[in-house]
Amino acid sequence: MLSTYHPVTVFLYFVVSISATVLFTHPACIMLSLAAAIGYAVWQKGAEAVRFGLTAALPVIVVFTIVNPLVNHKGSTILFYIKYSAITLEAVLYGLFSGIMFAAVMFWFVSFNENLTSDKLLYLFAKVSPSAALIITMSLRLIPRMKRRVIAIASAQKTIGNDVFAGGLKVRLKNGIKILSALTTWSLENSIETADSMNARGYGRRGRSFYSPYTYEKRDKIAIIFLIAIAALIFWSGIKGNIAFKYYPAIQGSLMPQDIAPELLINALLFLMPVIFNTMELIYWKFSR
Amino acid sequence: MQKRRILAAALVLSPLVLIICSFIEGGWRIAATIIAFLSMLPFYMLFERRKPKAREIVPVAVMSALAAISRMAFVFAPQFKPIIAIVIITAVVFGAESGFLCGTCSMLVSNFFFGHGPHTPWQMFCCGLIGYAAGVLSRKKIITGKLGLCIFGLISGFIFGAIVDIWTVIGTTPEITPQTVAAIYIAGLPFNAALAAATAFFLYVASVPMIQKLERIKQKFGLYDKV
Repeated sequence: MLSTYHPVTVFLYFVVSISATVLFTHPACIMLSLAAAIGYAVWQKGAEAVRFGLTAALPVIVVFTIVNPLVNHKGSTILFYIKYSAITLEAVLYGLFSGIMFAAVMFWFVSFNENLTSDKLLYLFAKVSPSAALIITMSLRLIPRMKRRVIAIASAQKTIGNDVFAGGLKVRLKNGIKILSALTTWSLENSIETADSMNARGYGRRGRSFYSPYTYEKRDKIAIIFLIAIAALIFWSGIKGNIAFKYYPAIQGSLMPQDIAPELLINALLFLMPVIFNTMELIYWKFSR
Repeated sequence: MQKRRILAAALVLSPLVLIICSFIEGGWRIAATIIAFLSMLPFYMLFERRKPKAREIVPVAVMSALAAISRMAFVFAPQFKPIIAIVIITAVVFGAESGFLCGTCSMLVSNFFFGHGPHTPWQMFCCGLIGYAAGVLSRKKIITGKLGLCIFGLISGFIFGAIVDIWTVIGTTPEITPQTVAAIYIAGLPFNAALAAATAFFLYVASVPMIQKLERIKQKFGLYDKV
């Protein structure tokens, strides 16, 4: 499973995969990425991913396919006219495949959110800015506490006649601001206590050690080397332009398997990486007994 | 000077990434996202250099949580959210740097609940920038009083929309032409107007009592003494 790897590995996997998705406009590449992204989303979230696809991704594809030919009149194959403006086949296709590309990115982010949970993302962020990561950790923790405080304040206010759910809009707004005001004071005064407690425990001193639940294993090293190699190949094939696909003015690009096979294979290797690594681990497990 | 070196590095890196990506047909999408990340880097690095004290960090965390909660509380009203207003208030009281941190952190934190997407770095950067600008402008006495804040809020709501829509243009437009850009900005106008109106509204209603409250706490505990 990808989520058991080190956060750096997981993050790099998604960066390379999403980059590979948006880099190429070739229909085969886009469809391949969409298939992989849907596969992982369904694998991890099940029915919820299907619902996401129908309510969020599908409408995006439909809107792109309809809107692009309406605002873009380039292309040489005219299908029909709407009020003297030509609707071209190329524009429809470009809209369709851009929509699919965007949907694929959306699906990739479904697994991204599932694999890189807040703690892992914060672990990565702490490498860039430890203080900012600390702020984010603290606010994530404060949110549920503040929600409880809001309920406490609201019920206390209600007993003295300041109900947010009763009366005219102006009265309710005024009562709402009273709650916000009380919440701010309460939380900020408390935060000073937290800060002093942090100081007392040696925040910002030299020689503090950090706890991290993530270990950088040998398999992470292998995976990262694999990902960097794949990324280099992908950028190289992008610069080489073998797989370039032009939609305007006329569709120009090869759909022949022999022309695009190497590039597609590289992309497939990338997208299948979690599956490949998983299978290899299973085999290793089986034979190590 | 160390600070200048970091800034220079970020300034050199950004075009470099652009150049590499410009060789590939879809490369500008990646370039734009990397630049959104890179542009936040100098701010964080400057903050880190200063070795911030616990008493500076914790109030910013509280205000970020408050801003994130305010975004969630108005889940039923698309774009009509007080998050930018709270970031601006924080910046006015606690300074530009805290404003930037509050802006970026509150966006990141609330996106843990709303779901991350390619728009996350744009929203973070943009909200942070608004906080930074609010802090600088209020210290220079360019925005003063409730009316000034409201006008700033209105403008910043539109600026936020305009910058985040850069992502919409880059990420979703098949081909960037004046027509498609105009189409996206016109389609986004009602949302951006709602955000701008919400920011100005919440600043009008809450800025004076909130600023008083924060100033009182700042005085009471002697926060940011030397500033």
